[in-house]
Amino acid sequence: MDFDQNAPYLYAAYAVFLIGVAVYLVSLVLRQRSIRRDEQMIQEIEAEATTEKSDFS
Amino acid sequence: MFVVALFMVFFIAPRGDLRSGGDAQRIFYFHLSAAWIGFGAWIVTAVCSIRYLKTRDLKFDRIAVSSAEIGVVFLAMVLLTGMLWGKPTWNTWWTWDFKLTLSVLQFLLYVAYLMLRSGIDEPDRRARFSAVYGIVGVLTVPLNFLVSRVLNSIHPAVFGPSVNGSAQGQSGVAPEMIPILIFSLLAFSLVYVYFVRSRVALQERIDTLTARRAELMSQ
Repeated sequence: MDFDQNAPYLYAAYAVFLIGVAVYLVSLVLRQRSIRRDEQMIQEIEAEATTEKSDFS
Repeated sequence: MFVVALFMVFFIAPRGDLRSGGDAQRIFYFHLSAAWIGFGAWIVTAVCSIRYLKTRDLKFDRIAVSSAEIGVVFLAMVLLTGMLWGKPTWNTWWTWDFKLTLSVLQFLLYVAYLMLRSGIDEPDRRARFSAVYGIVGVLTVPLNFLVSRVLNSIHPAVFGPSVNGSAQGQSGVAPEMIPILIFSLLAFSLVYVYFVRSRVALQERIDTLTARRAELMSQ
C-alpha cells in the first residue's frame, strides 16, 4: 500500500490515539495501586487501634 | 476491536482527495469516533447528574465523574487530531473558527468540572454542585453539533443538512467508508464502556476509603 506526502500526519494522529488510550490505562492502574496501598495502611491502623482498645480495657 | 479498526483505516479505507487532505483524510474515522465519545460522555454525565439530583444516590455521581474524566481524554484527542488534519488541509494548525473555539471551550468546561469537584470535600455537596454543572455543561453538545451547520464555519459538516457551503476540506462519506466508520464507532464505544466500568470501580474504592479514613480520624 502506498502513502502520499500527508501520511506523516496520519501516523502522528494515530500515535495520539494510541498514546492517549495507553496513558489513561496506565493512570487507572497507578491509581488502583495507590488505593490498594492506602487500603492496606488503613487496615493496619484499624488493627492497631483495635489492639490498643482491647489492651486498655 | 481497536486494533482491527486501526488495520481497516490503514489498509482498507479509501484515500481522500488532496482537497480533503489525501492520506490525512483517514484521520477522520478515529477523529469522529473520539468526538462521538467526547459528546456522548457529556450526555452520560448530564443524565447521571439528573438521576443523582432525583435519587441522591452517589452511584450516579460516580458514573457522572467517570464519564466526564474519560470525556476529557477523548476531547483532547479530538482537538489534537483535528489540528493534524487541519495542517495539510487548511494549511494551518489552528484557527479561531466558531466550531473549533467551541470545542476548546467544551474541553475546558470538562476540565473545570473536574477542578470544581476536587475543590469540595464533602461528598453530598460535591455531588450536588457538580450535578448542576454537568447538566448546564451538556448544552455545549447540541451547540457544537449545530455550529458548523448553521454558521459560516471552516469545519466540514459531514452528516446532515448544512447551510454552510464554504467549508474548506468539505468531505462527504462515500459508501465504502461507512462500514469502517461504524466499526470505529463501535470500537471506541466499547473502549469507553470498559473505561467507565473501571473508573466507577475505582471511584467506589476511593469513596469507601475516604469514609473509613474519616471514621478513623473521628475516633
